[in-house]
Amino acid sequence: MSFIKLAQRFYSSAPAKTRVQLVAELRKLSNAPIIKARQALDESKGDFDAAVRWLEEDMRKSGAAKAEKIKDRATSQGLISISESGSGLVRASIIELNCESDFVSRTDEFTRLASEISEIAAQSMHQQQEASSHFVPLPVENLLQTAHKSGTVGTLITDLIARIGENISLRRAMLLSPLESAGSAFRVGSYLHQGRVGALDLISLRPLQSSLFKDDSFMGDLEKLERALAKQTAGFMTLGLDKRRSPEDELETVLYEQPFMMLGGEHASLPVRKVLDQWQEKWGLEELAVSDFARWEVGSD
Amino acid sequence: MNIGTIGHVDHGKTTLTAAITRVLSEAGGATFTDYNQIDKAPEEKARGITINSAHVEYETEARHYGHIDCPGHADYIKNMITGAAQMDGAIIVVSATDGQMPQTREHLLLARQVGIKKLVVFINKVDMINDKEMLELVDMEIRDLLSTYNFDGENTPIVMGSALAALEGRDKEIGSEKILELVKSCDEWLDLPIRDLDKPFLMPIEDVFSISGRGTVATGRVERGTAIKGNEVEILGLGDSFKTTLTGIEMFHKELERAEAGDNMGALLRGIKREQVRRGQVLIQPGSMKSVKKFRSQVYVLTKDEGGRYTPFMQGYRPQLYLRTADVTVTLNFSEGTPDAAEKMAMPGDNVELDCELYFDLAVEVGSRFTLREANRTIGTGVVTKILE
Repeated sequence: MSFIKLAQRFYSSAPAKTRVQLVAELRKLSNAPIIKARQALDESKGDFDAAVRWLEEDMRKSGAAKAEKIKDRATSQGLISISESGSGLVRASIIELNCESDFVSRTDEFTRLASEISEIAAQSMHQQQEASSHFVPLPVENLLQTAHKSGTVGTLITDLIARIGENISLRRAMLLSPLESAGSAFRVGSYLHQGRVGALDLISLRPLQSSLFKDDSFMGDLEKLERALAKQTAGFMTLGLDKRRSPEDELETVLYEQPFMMLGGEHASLPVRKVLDQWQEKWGLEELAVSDFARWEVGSD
Repeated sequence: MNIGTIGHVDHGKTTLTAAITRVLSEAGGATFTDYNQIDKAPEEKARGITINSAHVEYETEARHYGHIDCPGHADYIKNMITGAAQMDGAIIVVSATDGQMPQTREHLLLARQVGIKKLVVFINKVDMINDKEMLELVDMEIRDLLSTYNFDGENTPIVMGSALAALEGRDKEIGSEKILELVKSCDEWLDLPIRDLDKPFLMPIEDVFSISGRGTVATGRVERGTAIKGNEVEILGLGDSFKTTLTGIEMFHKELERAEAGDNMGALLRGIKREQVRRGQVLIQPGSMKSVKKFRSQVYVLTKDEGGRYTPFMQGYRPQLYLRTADVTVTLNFSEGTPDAAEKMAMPGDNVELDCELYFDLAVEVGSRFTLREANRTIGTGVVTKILE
């Protein structure tokens, strides 16, 4: 056994790491800029754990300063994110988080942040009686101040700005929370296309207490239909539900008039509403309809 | 050759581009292009597709460079697909103060995706850190990352300097001297693409005539290489492959001994009947290409504003594929191994990887460009990335 190996056996503490090694480790841990990682270590006199704490604190401060400095830079890229509440309630959110370049919107960090924010948005409370629509816009300012972990949604964003160095902004957020409606059951269909286009469809069925909701083959069929409807809404440039939003719009912008390409099979060339009618009849429902929908595209209104 | 700068918005890639033109303009190798002109990255159209991209040109003693600078990933991909500014190499710009960032890996992935094999790295803003150890760390980290993404991390040249110093004409030991070192590294490390003229002969057949007393003549524009009278040539594609002799070359009613890339020529083919040759086939140096039916490609789907579809398409979509002079029906599928391919859709504005299956075989190779058309409009444009069958 060599002397060195012997020495390692007797002295459990490894030889002190060099400054560069420590900075490298700090970077691996925090993604902090080189200059910050070095400062953290110097300020903490080489104490690694203290440097980690220093960095955490500084990232928040310098992140906020950086965010302030670049807040006017255009953010035209980004992601749409959708989240459905997993708690059995019919509730979902859609948000748009922007950044400056599509290099950043492709990173895991940015994707995670967008989905985190949509999850928080899906949990947000609102006054049901005040709402007049199934879709309720969530004021961005309120959402930014929503507490999350040790900070807020706003600090989640500034933390990422500190690490990524691009302006990041939460552009819009909306909550889908169906209004009470006598006798209808609600379901949500959602579809996200490459984070670029997202759609939420609120689907209503009657009667509310149909035994079909306990029928596996019905539920399987329904889930397929829900997804196809949301995909249809996203894939086509859908603007209206059953009529044109404005007279200049093409007929294909109307969901019910579109050939139901996304359900495929023999339905692909039939209009969406016609397929819904057939479906309604097949399962003996009183009503099957899309009550409302939201279709968002990154960078558009 | 064409190179591009890829880097984080604040790391100074635009400043670097401006600095290169400034430093090289002193030796007469460039016209100085200032920051604002490059930063704007004007919108341009290539094959009907909108791309944001700034171009400058400069020359070293050894080479001529076309330099492109795009703001986004999608712009570089569109450049590759359309061939508007095919990048043969790239300069990755990283700031010494930040080091590599989470998006640096996206920069390297992009370089891979557009087919770049060799890179040069410029570590910018070294005057703001002034710490040899830290610069070594930046160097080490970037070499690690390069190796992770299958670049030659060990031998890739890394130049450290300050683009701003070079642009402002101060501190030449980190400024202009480093810019000269950077372009020298490009000269020495980046491989020149093969010139069209040096490639094997290829002429896409546009038209075929039968000239009494002479024989069958195929006309077209030489895409690459040189045709020499008397040489053996191969006719390939659309189910055929046979060899014959090029007994004559005609250009502007003159008999010539040779024709080269860029020339329009008529090729007199020995012992061939007119019915044996068709538009869409190619005339090539024997054995230099294969005729294939199935290949993988990177495709950009045009938006409605670009004249494309306004509805998506699904797996199994069958438009017409136009490649050189050929026009063949193709079945498009999401590339093999795509999860839930039957569920997926491609929307206008998407960059997608598609497997193309042709109804008739064509002379296709990696890098061949094509367009997809339907009812007389272009709905997509693509580049071949892999031959499958």
